[in-house]
Amino acid sequence: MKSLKYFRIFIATIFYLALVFLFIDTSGWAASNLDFLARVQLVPAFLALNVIAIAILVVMTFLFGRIYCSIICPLGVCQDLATWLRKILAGKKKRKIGLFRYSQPKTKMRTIIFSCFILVVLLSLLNIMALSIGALIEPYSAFGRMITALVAPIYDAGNNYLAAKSAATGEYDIEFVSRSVTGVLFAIATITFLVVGWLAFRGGRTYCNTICPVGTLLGYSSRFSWLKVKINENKCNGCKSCERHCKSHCIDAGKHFIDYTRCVNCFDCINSCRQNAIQYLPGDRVIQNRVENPGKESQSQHVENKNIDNSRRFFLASLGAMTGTVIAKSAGETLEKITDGGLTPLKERQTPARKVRIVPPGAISQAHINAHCVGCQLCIQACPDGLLTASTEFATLMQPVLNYDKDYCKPECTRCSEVCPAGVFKPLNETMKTSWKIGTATIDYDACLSANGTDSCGNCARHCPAGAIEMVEKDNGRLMPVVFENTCIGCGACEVHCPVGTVAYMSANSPAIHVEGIAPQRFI
Amino acid sequence: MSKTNINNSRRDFLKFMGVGAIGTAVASACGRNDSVDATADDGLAAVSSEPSGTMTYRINHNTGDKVSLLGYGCMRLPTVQGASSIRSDDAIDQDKVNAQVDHSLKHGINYFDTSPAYCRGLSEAAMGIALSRHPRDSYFIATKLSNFNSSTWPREKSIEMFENSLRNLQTDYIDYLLLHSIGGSSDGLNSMETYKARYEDNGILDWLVEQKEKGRIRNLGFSYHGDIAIFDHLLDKMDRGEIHWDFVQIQHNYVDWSFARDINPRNTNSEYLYEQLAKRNIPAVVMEPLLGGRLAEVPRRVATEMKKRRPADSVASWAFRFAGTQPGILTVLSGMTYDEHLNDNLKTFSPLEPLTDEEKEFLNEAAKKIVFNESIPCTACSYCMPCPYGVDIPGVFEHYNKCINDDNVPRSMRDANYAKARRVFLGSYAEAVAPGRNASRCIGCNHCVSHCPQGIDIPDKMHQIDGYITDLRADKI
Repeated sequence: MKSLKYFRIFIATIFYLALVFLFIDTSGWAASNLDFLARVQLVPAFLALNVIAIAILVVMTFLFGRIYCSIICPLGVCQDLATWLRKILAGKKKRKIGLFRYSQPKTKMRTIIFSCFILVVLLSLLNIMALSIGALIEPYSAFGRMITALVAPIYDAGNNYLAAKSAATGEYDIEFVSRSVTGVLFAIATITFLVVGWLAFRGGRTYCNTICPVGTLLGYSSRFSWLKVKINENKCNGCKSCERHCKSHCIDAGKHFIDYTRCVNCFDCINSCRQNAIQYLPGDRVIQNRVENPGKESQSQHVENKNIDNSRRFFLASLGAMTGTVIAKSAGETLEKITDGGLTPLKERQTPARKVRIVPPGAISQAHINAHCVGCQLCIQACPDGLLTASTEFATLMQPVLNYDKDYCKPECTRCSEVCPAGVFKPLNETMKTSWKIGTATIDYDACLSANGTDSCGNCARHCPAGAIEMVEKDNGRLMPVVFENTCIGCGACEVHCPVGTVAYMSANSPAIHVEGIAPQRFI
Repeated sequence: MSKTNINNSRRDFLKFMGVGAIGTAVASACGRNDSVDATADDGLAAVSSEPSGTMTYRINHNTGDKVSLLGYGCMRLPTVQGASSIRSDDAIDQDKVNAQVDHSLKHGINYFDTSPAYCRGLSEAAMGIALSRHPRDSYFIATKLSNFNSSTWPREKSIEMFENSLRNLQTDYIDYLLLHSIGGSSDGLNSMETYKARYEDNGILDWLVEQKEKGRIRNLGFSYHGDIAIFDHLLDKMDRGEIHWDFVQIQHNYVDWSFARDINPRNTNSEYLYEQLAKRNIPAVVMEPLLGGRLAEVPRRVATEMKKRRPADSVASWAFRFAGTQPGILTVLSGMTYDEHLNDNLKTFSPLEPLTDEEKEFLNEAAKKIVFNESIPCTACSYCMPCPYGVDIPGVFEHYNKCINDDNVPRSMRDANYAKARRVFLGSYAEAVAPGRNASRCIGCNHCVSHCPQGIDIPDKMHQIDGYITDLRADKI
């Protein structure tokens, strides 16, 4: 019986390390082999209507209780690490005695927070607010944000160091990565880390048993589990060792009472009991001294997720992004060459202000993302070209935003849509992706170098993988690009390769051609 | 067989023993862009192998000048960051230039070739500073009238350019003045019209002859790339007695000797150019003896053959020996950014060991392998630069050629080394050229085309390379 705890730690460690690797890996191996670890997370599984995962979790909980929180939930393991650190720092003596005491359940607070979370889910289904805002307290995505913002940059730095070494030997075995973390994401991840870490350091699983909506849901379900941790009153000598070792504060040793809504089945109590009075047993094999819990929640709060109707009214949450940036004319500007050599200074181009933002390929529409995305950052981490970033706007907080500042979205790449555990993405294969329309290119002819400048260009047409841009003769005899909207897939190759605004002597700050998002995304 | 060649070689035994070890190190470093730590004033000593012999000299029969067969080219001066100025926006490393000039003079180099256009216009002034520290009669200065831009075509503008050169070089006479790169075309004019606009219609050629009579120019000549009609036109003028050319600068190396036309039909084999000059007893100055470094970085199988024959000599030394072998060559110019290039060249020219007939035949075969291996004939002269849209043109071509030479340009996913070649090609591409400067940024404006002395259709090559890279990235070749 005492090996249960070590078994739990063993399994949890494997799960945890694999999940961390899933978020930091850049090779794509983890994304295609370890993605199931994200898919079995409770909230994403419900959002994706992942029947198999839900079935596994339900069966598991009704058989074994809330082991999800001790093994599968990465944020739970994070907290165990913080608690473990506290035990180490406390010294051997205190560690042996135990650090905790039974506390009354904060049933009211749990109920309110859980209800608020359910309310956000419902509002997000109606596209009134984004789920990702409520999901700031959701454990899996909170973990994802922490790894993305705090751990992955270190991994990337190490990777790039090795890549530089490999490049120096001429082998190029390791590719450079260029993932970036926005300030808002970093702030949110840091706050999460500090709050959750401090709560866990101070009092074990406080977060899980007061704030976490998954903890609340599983807590009230696990009361009906088949196997439970039980105290054998006949063996118990009343030493209260179990109570003092319970990081969930759920054992009232004096009354031989265990609050199963808070027990995460860590089995620490079993190992702490020198009388072997605590056992993990099915049914009513041990007399239960059960006190009715004041909480009267019904079990009917399973999140039901309905398919989102794509034709639903589209709420333009990001109208505020439309600033009055004036695109300065750049057509006709050129560089006088007198001497030889040297490089023309480049400049950083601004991201074009889009009337409709572009959502990642397969994510269908802003409404669809709002109802599904928990903001875990997994798709952002998976993009091989680093095109996705976490939204910094409140209305779409932490959701993936697609921009073409670094490169364009390769028509044959489907990495982001493959990893999402929460059903944000419609599954696309390579062939489907090449005709999946995510936006439409629009041209500012006044700024276009070819239409109005002195040089010939056509770089947009030359790079369009869909063949949606043609150079046609204008009335002034110059060639101008035209976009065939029904052929354009919105990949951004034109936007990336537009020369306008890339070199320092040009007054323009944004490209003459840019992509506007569409809703819903569709096949053409 | 290779052993016999070594034994038969006329190489000075002492020299072989004395510098053999260092020569190997130099040879392996030569041609790569390895930067060398900036050295102090007398810094060259740190890596220098003092050449054991003495410099070979040739006599210019027009003036009796005793000119070193190795000339110092000032188009690729070192910068503070250690790179060649041709590929960098950094300031020129004046201390380094001074040290190189001192070292060159000490070892017998006495011909320095610059231009108002070189190194973003900074070359002349840097050379002026370095050379003015030595007696004016201990070296010869060559510079050019680089009136490429149509704004410098008016007579007074071109004269101003010449006077400016004198000021920058801190001298009152030029030993060797060249009409710069005749044979090209610009501003919508054909090459003959361009030549006439630059030198004849504005009376500048006559003015230069006057300056020569006044002693402000000691030798008048021209450098030539491109349309052969202009070359012939200028020699015809001499035949008719209208002008006397004291020297002519041509692109001459073992590839251009017989295969310049194969690289680009517009070009002329240097065999023809050399013979035309020899016939008229005009001393020839050699430019691009290394084809912009490409003959220091030849396909591996060619390099292996060279090493088999002369293990202690660099790949580049073969090209210099070819360039210096013909008796009508006055001097061979080399832009030596790095100390090891300078020292390797000094070794080759002190003294120059002429090629045997057998070696000439060997280089002819090597040239075939170089020309027909699909690389781009860019010499990294940077006349095309700066690209108005930010493309690093020589950088893109240099990377491509290097990958071609190293067999890292996979042609099909079925290639045996596909995975590794793809990795190296794409990995080193990102390293060699910044994303904002790669081939995909070429919009095809064609500004560069008229500047390329090699006649490369730069935009076309850029688009080919870019298309290839897009396919390679998507695993679709």
